[in-house]
Amino acid sequence: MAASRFGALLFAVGVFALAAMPRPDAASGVTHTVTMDGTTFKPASMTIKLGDAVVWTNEDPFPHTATAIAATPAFDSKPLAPGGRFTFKPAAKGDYPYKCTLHTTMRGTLHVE
Amino acid sequence: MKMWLFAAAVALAPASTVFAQSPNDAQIASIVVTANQVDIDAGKLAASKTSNADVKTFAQQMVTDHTGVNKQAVELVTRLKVTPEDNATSQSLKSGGDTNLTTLKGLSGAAFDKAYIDHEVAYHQQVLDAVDKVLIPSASNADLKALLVKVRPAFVAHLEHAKHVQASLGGK
Repeated sequence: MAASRFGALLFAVGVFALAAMPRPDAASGVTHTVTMDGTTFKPASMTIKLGDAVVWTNEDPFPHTATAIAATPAFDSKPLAPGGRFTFKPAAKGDYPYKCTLHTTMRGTLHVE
Repeated sequence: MKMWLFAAAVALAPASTVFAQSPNDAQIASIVVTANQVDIDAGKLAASKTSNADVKTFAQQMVTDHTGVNKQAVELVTRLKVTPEDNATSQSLKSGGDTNLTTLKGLSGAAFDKAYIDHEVAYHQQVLDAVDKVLIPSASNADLKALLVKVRPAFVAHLEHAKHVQASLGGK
């Protein structure tokens, strides 16, 4: 009986711990959030693990993009309307500098390790 | 004094536009909405009149961005129950905008593009100066001040964009 109660307690602790963790992606990894706010990426620099995903959300009253700076961009959200969201899940490790093509003063970097 | 600096800087107004004190929140609201609307009107004209792709893209973005800022500004003042108060600075902005539109309507082709973009470079620089030196320091409501701080970087981006287009046109 005591063992049963202890098992239930362990289960409850486990559920609580899982709920407190960052939201897992559908396949694996964690989903991180970058906000587009005040014509700035917040945070401007983020380090994630391979297998994680990043969601950009536009909290400004006009469109923004999150576009990788490369000859062949690894990702390009295209213009996101206010309230819009874009998800990118890197397929390889490395640094991904990116910008808003509409407001080129707005830049960020994604480090995937 | 601050208000005089703002009026002169933004509207390129004559020195007769003199204020003895800083603007209150109702006056700032009116200045913000008018400053955005002036750029929206110029952008609409440019987008419809230019045949230069870079100028058209810039003009369309000015319409989109400043419309978005104005929507948020109007929502804020409505929530705060602040009625925008017309003042000499907002009137100078409107007058300066009307003069610019009249000038632009008399131009075409490359001359139009240059006049529009040159004005956009000067206008955004002057609005930024006013935002930094007058509007943000004078705003007493925290939400109004926060809105000004939030939209300021967009004006910096617009200025850089305008300068880039200006350079592509062989301008200054």
